[in-house]
Amino acid sequence: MYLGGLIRKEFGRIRSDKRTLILLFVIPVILIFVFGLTTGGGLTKFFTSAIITLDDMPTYDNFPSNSSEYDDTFISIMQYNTSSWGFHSYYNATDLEEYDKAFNYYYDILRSGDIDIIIILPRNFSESVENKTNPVLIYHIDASDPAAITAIEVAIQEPIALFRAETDMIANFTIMVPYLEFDVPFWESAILNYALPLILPIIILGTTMNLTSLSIVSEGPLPRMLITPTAKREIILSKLIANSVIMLLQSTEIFILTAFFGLYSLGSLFYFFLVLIMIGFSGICIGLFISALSPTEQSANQMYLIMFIIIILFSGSILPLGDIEGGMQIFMNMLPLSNAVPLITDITLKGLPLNLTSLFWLNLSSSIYVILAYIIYMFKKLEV
Amino acid sequence: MAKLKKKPLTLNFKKFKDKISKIKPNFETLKNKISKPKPNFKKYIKNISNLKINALRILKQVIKEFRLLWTDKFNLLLAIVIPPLIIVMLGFTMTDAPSETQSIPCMLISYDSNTFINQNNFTESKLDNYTMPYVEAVNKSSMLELVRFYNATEEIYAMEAARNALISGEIKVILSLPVDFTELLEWGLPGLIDCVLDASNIQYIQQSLNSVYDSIKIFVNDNNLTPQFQLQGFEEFTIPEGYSNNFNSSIVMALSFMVFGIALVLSILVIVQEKPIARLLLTPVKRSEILLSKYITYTLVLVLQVALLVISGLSMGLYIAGTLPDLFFALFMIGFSGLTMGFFISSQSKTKTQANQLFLAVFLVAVLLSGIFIPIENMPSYLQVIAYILPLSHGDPLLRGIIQKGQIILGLHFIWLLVISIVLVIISFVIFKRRKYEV
Repeated sequence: MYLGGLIRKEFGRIRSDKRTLILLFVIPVILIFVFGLTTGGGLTKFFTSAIITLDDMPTYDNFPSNSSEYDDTFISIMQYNTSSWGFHSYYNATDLEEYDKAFNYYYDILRSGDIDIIIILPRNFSESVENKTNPVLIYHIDASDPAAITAIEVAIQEPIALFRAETDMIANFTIMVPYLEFDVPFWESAILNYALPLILPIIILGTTMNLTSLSIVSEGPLPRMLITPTAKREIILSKLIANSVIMLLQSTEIFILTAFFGLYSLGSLFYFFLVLIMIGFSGICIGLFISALSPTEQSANQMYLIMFIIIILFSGSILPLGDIEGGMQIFMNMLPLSNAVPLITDITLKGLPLNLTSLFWLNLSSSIYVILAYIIYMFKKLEV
Repeated sequence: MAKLKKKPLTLNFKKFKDKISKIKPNFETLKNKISKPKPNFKKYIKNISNLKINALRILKQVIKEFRLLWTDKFNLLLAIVIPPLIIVMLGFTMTDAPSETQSIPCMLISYDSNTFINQNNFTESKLDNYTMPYVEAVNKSSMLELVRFYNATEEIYAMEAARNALISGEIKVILSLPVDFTELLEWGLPGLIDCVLDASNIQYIQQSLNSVYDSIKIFVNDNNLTPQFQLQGFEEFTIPEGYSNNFNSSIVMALSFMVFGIALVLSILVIVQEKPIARLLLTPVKRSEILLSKYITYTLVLVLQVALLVISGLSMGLYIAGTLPDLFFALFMIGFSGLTMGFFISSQSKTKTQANQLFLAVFLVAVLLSGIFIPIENMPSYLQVIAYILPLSHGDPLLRGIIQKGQIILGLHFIWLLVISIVLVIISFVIFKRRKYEV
């Protein structure tokens, strides 16, 4: 009886704040619309290179010939034939002074970020190719980009393979042919679908946490209600139910919108929808916890933001889970994003059913947050 | 030659007299001018005293603002203490072992022993000399963990079993040696190794490719398959030994996020929630002074917050290739842009709820378009424009440049942050001046 009335009251309170409601439903529309149209580019690392060739400089030692034709072939391949490389420029250094000047020039460009790598073709480059000895490629890479360091050795195999084919150096050449399993097909929006498992939970968590993080702390008549026979647990429960209904509507909206903007899912759409709801529920529980804990609206906002940053930072998507210490992984499991991302990935890209471990952690963490919210609210001093 | 006409030198005394008489009043004005400084000096003194009064009033306002902040200690605690704690937590949790050295579980299937029929001369061959050397190379590679090796000649359902393992997540890569692997290498043609990668998680795609390439390098070297291209890599702007690579690369993002976000959230309710502003306007305090005092107060809080963040970062082993003042000012600038955005939101919101809504919208858009989730260069051009207008997109490159590349603070990103901040400060002052208050 009381609960029904309280839920109705809660709905009334949410409805009275029409702007929040509009925003709650409009933000996902805008963001999904924006990311849904983001179909350009790719997800692979794209290198921009500059080349300094020393091949025109004379060679001595064990090189009988003094050739310098193959550097042009390599430069031409880098310039026109590769798919994962951009080309800035090249410099043909005929003496060491010129080389120093060119290197300093390109080093400054590397520092400014206009290029990712300087490739140096040594003075015996053409001779090595001609004599079928091991040619050497020297490169200086911008190591401030961790993605570049890990990708360079594999990425450079593309121009090398093309060069070997061009110069008939195919003997003893071993190369891998990669096939990407469970990737997003080329006709689908790759960026949207790869970003979805992270972006969708961020949107849902961000909006639902915001919806509830002020629900207790900013409600003026709440202390007066405690004079009536209404119990504190009923107040919390009514807030949980009313906000969950709103969240359900929002999740439905997000589900429909993502499907409209090119959601690629190998798995069950029902599971996908279910996961969205669970993420939203988790956001509501965290929001209630924040609201119960905060003494003022501003501190609730601060806590919301800090919690949001922690959730994103320790989601496992930005800092790989493997780099985190063992004990800390339990803490990460208590954060919704670290479970939500694998859940959505498994369903959409792998076509798997619900991952029960992730589901367990997600729901366990939600329950803990709502229980904590209740306990804190029970002990919270309110002045009537 | 033209003749020069000589003019008689006759002095027109009358004209000269007139000119002198005309100067007279000029003398008088000069006299007046000399005699005027007295009232100007008074005005000057008055101006100075006014300025003193104004400064004193602003100072008192600033003190009032600090008192107001002090009333909500929990909020202050969250803004100042929690961010350095997150940095400390990050420092303790990030292991030094880089992620690429963690081995990738894989299965290897060899079809090399199957009969290969040459399409050119229809001859059969069953060469598989290079199969076991490659299996050894995979075993040797520290980047791959061979879960199982299948000889597809004996186990015809090998690929099915491996695919099931890939789907369940037991392995990340299936390596497959085709039927003509040894034959092609023996005939002086390229030997191809098929690798099926789990591409559902983009983080692991590159890592898996690197691991497979590592095994190929070992295979080529061990079997003396020449000629091969030798790569000599030099990593520029790398983090020196003794510093945690993972901590240093992750702290850049964490710092810009926190400084911007906390400054933003600290200031979104500053104007909109303060009820006595309307009454304050009845006193001689000017609107610009009220806003200025708020800016000063929150800027000082920001300075303290940035200082604590830098100290906590350094204590956890933050490596800075650039200078410490540059890092401090860069962080301050990122925070200040968040502060100005917060003031802008607060000045133009009519209610606290409206300010909260705007904050949520701005923060979500700023985070999602910051380039962390999707590289900005991969976005369509219209989104790139929006992304570059937002301050958070400049935070990461600015800090990375200073921390890892030793760049100076003055650059495009800093100037852009400065421009955004100045524009927002001006707009917030204009909006606040025109804001209607009912006393």
